[in-house]
Amino acid sequence: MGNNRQLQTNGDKFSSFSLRADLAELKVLAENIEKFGELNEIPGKALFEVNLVLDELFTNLVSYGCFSDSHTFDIMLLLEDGVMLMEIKDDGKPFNPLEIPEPEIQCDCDERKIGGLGIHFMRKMMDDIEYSWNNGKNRLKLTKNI
Amino acid sequence: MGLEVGENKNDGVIIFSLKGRLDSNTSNDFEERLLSSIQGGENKIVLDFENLEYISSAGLRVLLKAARELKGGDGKLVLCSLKDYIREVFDLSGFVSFLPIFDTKDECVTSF
Repeated sequence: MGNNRQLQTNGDKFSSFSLRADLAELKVLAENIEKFGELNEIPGKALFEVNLVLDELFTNLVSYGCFSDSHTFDIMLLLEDGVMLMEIKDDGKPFNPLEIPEPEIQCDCDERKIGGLGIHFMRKMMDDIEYSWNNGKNRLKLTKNI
Repeated sequence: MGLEVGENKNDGVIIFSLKGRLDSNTSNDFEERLLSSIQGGENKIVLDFENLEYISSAGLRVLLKAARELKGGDGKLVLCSLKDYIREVFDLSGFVSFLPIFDTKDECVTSF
């Protein structure tokens, strides 16, 4: 597998880890992203945006996407020529974030809805988003220019 | 990596100073604290974000609820000292349209 080869030859630029479907795992997510950012000297703002987008996707899965409490959320991070690639796989309910309509963000606080905001951040903060469903898993590939 | 919340009241203005991360893991406790202070009659509320390192939509949800509660009672919630990348979240979400944001705590206090 290409990814494994990257792991051996280019350790700092590749990271993969899994989270259990439990919000307490957000801490593990943040620690892993921070470590990856430090090793690869990724600017703080870009790193925050990566953390935020992965948090929103993970929180969505935990809050709405589970059939049971035994799901996992597998994350792979790769930095290549100034581009950060992220692949997220989960075995929750099929969920294509690209089908979520854009939220109405100009209205007053009485009419404001919070739903869809995480996906809105993903669209704004990532440069490319690809979704697929195969082998019973959601797979999302995100690209961000650093 | 959690959230610490300091509280300071002066001349009818209550200031909550947030330190750490306001995410889906920490937002419930903060929501309880903020809403109970509103229910207890506080209506001039400052959130000092100088030491807030992280916020997600779960954190925004708490601010939205508080802003709605306060609006009914003629109160106001204002924010100060946001890091640039946190400010971006408020811009992208459109929350800037109903939450006043100031550079300093003093400007917040004099805005009431």
